[in-house]
Amino acid sequence: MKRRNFLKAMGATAAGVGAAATLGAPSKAFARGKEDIGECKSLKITVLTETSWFDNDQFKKDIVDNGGASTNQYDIPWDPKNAGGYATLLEIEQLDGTVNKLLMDTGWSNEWMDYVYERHGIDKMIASKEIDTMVLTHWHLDHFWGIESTLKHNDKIKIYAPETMYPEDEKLLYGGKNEAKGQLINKNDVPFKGELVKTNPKQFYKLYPGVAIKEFDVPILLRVRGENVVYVNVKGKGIVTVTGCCHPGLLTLYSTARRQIKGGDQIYGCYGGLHISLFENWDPKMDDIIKGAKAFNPKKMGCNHCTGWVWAENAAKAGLPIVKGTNEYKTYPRQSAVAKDSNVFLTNGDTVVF
Amino acid sequence: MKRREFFREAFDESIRAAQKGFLSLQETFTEVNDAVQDVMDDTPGKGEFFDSYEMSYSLTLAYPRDMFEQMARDQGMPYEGVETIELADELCKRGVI
Repeated sequence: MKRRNFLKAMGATAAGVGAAATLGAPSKAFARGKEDIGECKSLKITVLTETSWFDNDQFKKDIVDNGGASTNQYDIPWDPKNAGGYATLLEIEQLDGTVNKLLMDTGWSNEWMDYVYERHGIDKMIASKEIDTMVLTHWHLDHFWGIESTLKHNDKIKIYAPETMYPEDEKLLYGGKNEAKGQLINKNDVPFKGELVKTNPKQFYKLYPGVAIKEFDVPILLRVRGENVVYVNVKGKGIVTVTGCCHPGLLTLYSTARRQIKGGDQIYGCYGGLHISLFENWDPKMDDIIKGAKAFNPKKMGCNHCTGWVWAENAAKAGLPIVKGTNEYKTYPRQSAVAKDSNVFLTNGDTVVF
Repeated sequence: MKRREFFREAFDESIRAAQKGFLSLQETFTEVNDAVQDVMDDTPGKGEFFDSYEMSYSLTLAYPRDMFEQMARDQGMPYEGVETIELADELCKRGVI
């Protein structure tokens, strides 16, 4: 009898409440060489900005009108008025009480990112080297094109980025500009002079005790490939995944933790975009993602950006531990057109502690 | 309340709680699709990106269907009646995605 059939049968016939808590958790993966990424005391996330763009319809129109989703992102004359950006501050408290600060992504519009950085004091943290490292999750415009806003405060900041960079990415990073159909779409007047660590899927990149980057080689639209995910192991609580867009998929991230990270069979939660109902579209198959996530028994799920409000609302109704946000985002100069009063997103200005 | 009634009620309550707990357990395992269970079981050769919608949702479900049809049309690929996951897999093999 296969394990799943065994468990189904057992669920129907066995008795005893105490067993439910034990058997409800996923089984441990086979004990084999697992990566020890260490442990930290806690992780605090500050949502600097998750509004990569403000109008979903305009973003989709820019894609469809310029050849579709397989088009090179550098060939699309994006509506500049729709540009925002994605960036997150991670504060990792170590077991000895010291705190490491890590920047994830650098947004899209320089005007928007300059505002966001000043509002949260990120500009000063970068300049003082309180933040000396940035993880670029992937090379999409809304996560990378605002690079000048970071480099203007420290052009030697250490950057971890997927090895799958294109010449246009390199041009922008090292000081340059790109045009699409005669329209300036990005620029960087501050050439990067620091260390660029090009990540690949073959290894874990350990940043601090309890914190490691894993790159996943996954297909992404707009001619981008590969995404970095930050794994954080919180002592006594388990693994937290921190993502930009989660293009590899949440269930892949959790299963990778179980298979490859010491202690990874205990999932604590996640933060970031989950890339499910990007344009607020709904497919009944998305219910299966909710069921799949529940099977891993996460305790805290902070989601936003490309997750889709509709999915987050349905996930919360289905019992997933979605952490609700506040109305802080309304004090930002602009808001997403799809933001809802249900507050199922952690959005601009919100924080969550794991 | 007599001592006998007290213990009978306590026993009945325990049985009800046990039944509730195991209905919850049964629901968990009957609702998890095979793709997810394979991942949890660490079944060799399973859990690859295009094995299921659960594993590839970030590509195959996140975008509207018409975007995949547009890419398939550009490639001269048939798409009517073809599952989105199959379209995405083929587009990926062709290097379009």
